[in-house]
Amino acid sequence: MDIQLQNLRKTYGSAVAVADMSAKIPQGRMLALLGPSGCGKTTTLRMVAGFIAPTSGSIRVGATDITTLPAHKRDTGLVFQSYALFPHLSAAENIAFGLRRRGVARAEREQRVTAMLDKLKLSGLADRLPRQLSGGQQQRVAVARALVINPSILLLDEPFSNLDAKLRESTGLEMSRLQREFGLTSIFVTHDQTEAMSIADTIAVMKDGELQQIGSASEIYERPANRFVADFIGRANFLAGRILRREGQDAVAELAAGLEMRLLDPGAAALPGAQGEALLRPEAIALADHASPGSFKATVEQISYQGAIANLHARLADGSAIVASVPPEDARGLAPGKLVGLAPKPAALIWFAKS
Amino acid sequence: MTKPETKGGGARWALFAPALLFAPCAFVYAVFFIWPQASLLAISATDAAGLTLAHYQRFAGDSYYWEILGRTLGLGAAVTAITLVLGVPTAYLLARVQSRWAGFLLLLTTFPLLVSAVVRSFGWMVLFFRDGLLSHGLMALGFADKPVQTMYTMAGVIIALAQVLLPLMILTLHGVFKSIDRDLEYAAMSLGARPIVALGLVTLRLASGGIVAGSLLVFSLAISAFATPSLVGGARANVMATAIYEQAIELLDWPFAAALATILLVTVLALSLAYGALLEGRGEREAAR
Amino acid sequence: MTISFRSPLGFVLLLLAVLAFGYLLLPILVVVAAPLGDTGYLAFPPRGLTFKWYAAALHDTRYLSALAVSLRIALTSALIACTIGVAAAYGLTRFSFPGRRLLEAIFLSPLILPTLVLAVGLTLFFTRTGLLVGSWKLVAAHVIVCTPYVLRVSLPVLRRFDRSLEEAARNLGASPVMAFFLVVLPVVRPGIVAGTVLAFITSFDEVVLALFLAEPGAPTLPVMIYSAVQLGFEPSVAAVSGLLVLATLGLMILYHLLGTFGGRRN
Ligand SMILES: Nc1ncnc2c1ncn2[C@@H]1O[C@H](COP(=O)(O)OP(=O)(O)OP(=O)(O)O)[C@@H](O)[C@H]1O
Ligand SMILES: [Mg+2]
Repeated sequence: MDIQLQNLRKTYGSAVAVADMSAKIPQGRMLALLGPSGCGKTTTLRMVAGFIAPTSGSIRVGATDITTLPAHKRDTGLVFQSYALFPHLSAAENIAFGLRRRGVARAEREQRVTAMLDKLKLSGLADRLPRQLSGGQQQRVAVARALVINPSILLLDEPFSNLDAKLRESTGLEMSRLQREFGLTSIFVTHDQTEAMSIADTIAVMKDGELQQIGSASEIYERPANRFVADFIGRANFLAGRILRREGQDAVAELAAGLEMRLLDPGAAALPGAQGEALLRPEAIALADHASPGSFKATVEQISYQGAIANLHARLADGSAIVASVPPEDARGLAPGKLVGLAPKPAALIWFAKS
Repeated sequence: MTKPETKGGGARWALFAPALLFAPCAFVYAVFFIWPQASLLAISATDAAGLTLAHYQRFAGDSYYWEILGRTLGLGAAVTAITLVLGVPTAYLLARVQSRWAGFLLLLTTFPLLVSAVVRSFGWMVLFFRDGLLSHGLMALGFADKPVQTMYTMAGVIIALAQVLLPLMILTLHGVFKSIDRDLEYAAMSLGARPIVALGLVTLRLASGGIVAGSLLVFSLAISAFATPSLVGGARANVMATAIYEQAIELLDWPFAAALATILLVTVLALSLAYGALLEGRGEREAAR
Repeated sequence: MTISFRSPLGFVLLLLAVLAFGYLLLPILVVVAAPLGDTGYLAFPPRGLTFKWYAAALHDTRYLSALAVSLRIALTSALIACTIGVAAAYGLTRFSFPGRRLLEAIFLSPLILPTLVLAVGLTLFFTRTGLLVGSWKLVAAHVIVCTPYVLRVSLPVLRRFDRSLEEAARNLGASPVMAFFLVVLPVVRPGIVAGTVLAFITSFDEVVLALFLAEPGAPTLPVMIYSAVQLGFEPSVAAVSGLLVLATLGLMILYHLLGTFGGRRN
């Protein structure tokens, strides 16, 4: 079933935890709530789970409004950041908990628990208490416990944050496979953009309780709605500048670092004389000769090899710092102090007017 | 570490420091705690002729004292029950409520502890007299048709003593509930448990060790309390503590008082060992977690 | 809240908690309010309004000298308990040796001992040995009941203390004793202060040991109140008790504010 959040709002006294959040998650899709710490992700998720009563706004699942429905009557599976496994119950008993509450008969219950243990590669660990399991195993028990009740909605609050980097990636992919297999509509909270991009269909970027942008990973990366989103998702260089003139839909800007660049469709506000910043992604920069036209003159400060790419940290003529991600072979032979040309790829600049 | 002088100094320090640190405390305890308690035991088991069990036999053979012991244990049970009924919900709410009020309410719980039990019992006495608020209240509500005397009754002692010990129950349980992650309750609810079921199956289940420990603490303090039973209960509601006082101060029968004290002490010690074992178990379980 | 107060369960829990607070505070309120009545006998709620009992209590020399005795004994006991308790706590956390847990259990055991049993034992002991005179008997008894409180508060604080701080000081050339006074003590001071305050209050409020061991001519304040209450219900006893409650309340608020503004509370 699809989930629809409408103007969801939560305030604590005068503090706004979530401000007028609206989003729609189609049946079987996964929405990632992404944002820095304290931006209201957990609060949003817990309102959907029914643990926090919204100050205003509504939550619909399918055609029913569940805004005031108590948590235990909502058909949601939830995986907590700390897993919240019942410490006095074994792995199998933890998984069976929801089935017991639903009055599932013993034979069926045992069969479903066993199936779930198998599916999550937990067979053999059924009788262990949570404290006798590793972090990754605990995480899988938590997922199994949420999935075994066949919820129509799956909610995940930073479920991988306690795992190490390797395990995190494989578990994330496994999770998204299960979510698709069960056809679950889900909301997934994270502050890790790579994680959000790799497993969610839609990403909602939040800041200070406010929704900044909602869209697919590529939309958000390629057409960030504002400077915050551009900065939060991926690496970004911001080049200060001023609009020189309009050319139809497009405009030409003069950048402080000493180039005139064409901006594609920068919006109606980009009138001649307007100050602002242009976003230039590091990978949208190519190395060029320092005298070549259409490139910035820059002094190399540091080169860091990342394997598949090399990050070139350089300083522009106006003193601002810039990072370019280039193929490692291009960076070979460069050394700190050397003068290079950095050429933005065509149509790579996105204009943000100064607010 | 590398300098030999430091090393030598450290070794000497390691040898003498513990002794020096413990010496004052150990001395005070040895003289004013262990010695007197040991001689109390000795006095309770001796008379002019030497070793004897006569004082204990006197206790065992007199139904009056069995009655007192029974009344004392009954008092302990009643007080424990009242503090549980009021303490569990209060401690739970204090542990779960998220506002600056929580700190204030915790302070409000601690406050009665800072007021002497004598003063608090006195407050109850004012309410308990035939002409007091309790009597009038009961009549106004139709529970009684003539003035009720709660003073000098066991009921009065129970009401007053439960108030004296309630803060300890609340504070003990507050710590227990605080240590239980509230997400466990949320997890149970999201799996379909009604709130009351989630509380029963998860929270109370996990708190059970702490609840038993708190109950044992309150029970052993209730059966050893003196000021409240003696003020509110007077001579008519005699318990172990008041009986000991009576034997010692009024009848000057110190050996028998010592025997009664030993019986009370053994009861309390047995309860405390159980309490310690329970807390230990909890600690170990938590450490292993 | 995990449970909404609007649900029946939440409502019942809230009701019981409200009841509990009413129950906790009622007798204290009675003691403060009853002496305000001008009926000449104690009643609650008080009838009329007069401050004469409170005024009289402030000038009653019997109670004032009892207060002085109580303060002196509580202060002496708390300071002794603090000194020997902190030393022992430091030893218990700093060194490990066989029997350490047993020693700790013994040091803490007066907590569970009925004070009346301790009082009977000490009275017999002092009578037979003739050890200590005057108010020192009561001080010794109170040191025994107060030291466990100091230990209970300072043991966890010392256990949480980061040993590497002390090692850093030693590494920088401080002797063990200097390291204790320069590094350990300042860091754990709030815990020690709290333990000492607790010891002071315990001694100040204690009545059983005081009944047995106080000098006949110099009773402590709780003993005075205890005896007066047994004899009859004069408003003046209630006024003294009420003043005690108010002073306790004031000091508690002050302690709390000092802690809050000093930024020492966690
Ligand atoms: N019970 C509460 N009372 C007051 N403020 C709260 C409460 N719960 C959350 N907040 C505030 O609401 C805001 C959002 O909190 P929330 O837990 O949703 O953040 P988050 O995005 O999940 O952060 P994180 O990534 O750190 O988990 C924060 O500023 C937080 O301080
Ligand atoms: Mg969060």
